[in-house]
Amino acid sequence: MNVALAAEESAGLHMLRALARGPHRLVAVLTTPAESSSAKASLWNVARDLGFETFPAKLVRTPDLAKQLRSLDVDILLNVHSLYVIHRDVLGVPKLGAFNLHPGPLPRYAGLNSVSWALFRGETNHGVTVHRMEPEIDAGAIVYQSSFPIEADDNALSLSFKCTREGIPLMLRLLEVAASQPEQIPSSPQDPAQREYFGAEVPGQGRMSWQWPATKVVNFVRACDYFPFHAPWGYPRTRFGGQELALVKARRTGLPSDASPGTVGKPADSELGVACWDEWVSVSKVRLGDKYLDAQQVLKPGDCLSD
Amino acid sequence: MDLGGANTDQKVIQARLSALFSDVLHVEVPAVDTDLFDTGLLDSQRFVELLLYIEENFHTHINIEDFEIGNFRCIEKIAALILQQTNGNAVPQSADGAHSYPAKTR
Repeated sequence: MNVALAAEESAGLHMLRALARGPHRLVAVLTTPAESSSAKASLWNVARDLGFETFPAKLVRTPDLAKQLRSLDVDILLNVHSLYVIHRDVLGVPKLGAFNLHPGPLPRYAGLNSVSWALFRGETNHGVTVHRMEPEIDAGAIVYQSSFPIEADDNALSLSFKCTREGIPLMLRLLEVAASQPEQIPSSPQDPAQREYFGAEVPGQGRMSWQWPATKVVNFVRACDYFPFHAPWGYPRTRFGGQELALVKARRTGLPSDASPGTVGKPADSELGVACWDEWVSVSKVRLGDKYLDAQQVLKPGDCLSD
Repeated sequence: MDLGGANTDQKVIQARLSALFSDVLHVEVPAVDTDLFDTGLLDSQRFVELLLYIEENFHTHINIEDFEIGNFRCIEKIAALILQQTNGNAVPQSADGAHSYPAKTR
């Protein structure tokens, strides 16, 4: 089977390596060109090192790519965390169709940053979805889904990892079925009434409020937490004196608070806490300017944070 | 307690991890105690790759309670985590040094 792969990020890289080990012919890899040949872990360079033909990912937006893919006799197109909207002419080329691995449960979490939105909204379960691609984003028929619990300690980084771990085997299962019995590829239409689409926006433009319940504050921090790596949403911001302070690590204490929201205290012996509307939240790491610091280096009991 | 054996296992795992960094993640780590985050050697993409390859190559499962970033700060700490998870039964590297990832074709 001739496979074309449009891919980015670690999930895409992992898919690339899995395809390289497998029995199918990877005839095209569409990804963002590496900025330099020394960026060796980039998907572009890894694909080239493995001997595959690479194309700039943004070509998927143009009908011109359809002709090239047709000449490569593509049977199936796999999209793994590539964020370009694929032109409908390109989607029409692969004989067995085009399929996307989405890091969220569809139809409820379509669009961007599904992992962060699920954490922010306090979900206790998440999932990944393989679906047929249509011109409308994340709207095609569902092929496979897998769901798994979100644990209290999960953050955006750990949940993203779980999505990759769960998602790649689903794509490999799709390939297996597509190669042997393509008519058996499952296809369940999505219920449009359940669809929610999320764009690039960040809740509250990235600001939190100490008037919120502790659960909401902590969920927002978890939703942003890719520490020590780049956080697409940034970190929830509050004000400390005249400065902006971002919360990087926080967790619930379960200790009720009757202090004024935003008050810094010591609800337990060794922890630094900040009063929310209902409960003390333990804050262990913050960002001030471009520096990540232990909260105790910045805050002391009696300080007050404001919205 | 066979401390000598545990030490040997730890060294074997460290060597395998160093090879993994070099061959798969394309990162040369100067020493087993080099801080992978502070030096910028491990970005988020490589980090997720690393976790997946640890699971595949050491037949272990990264649980949420292991997901403390400090456990992955250097090769020494990662090896200790793997050793603890596999209860000293980390699979020895095969004689030919084979990994479950593809070799370069050019």
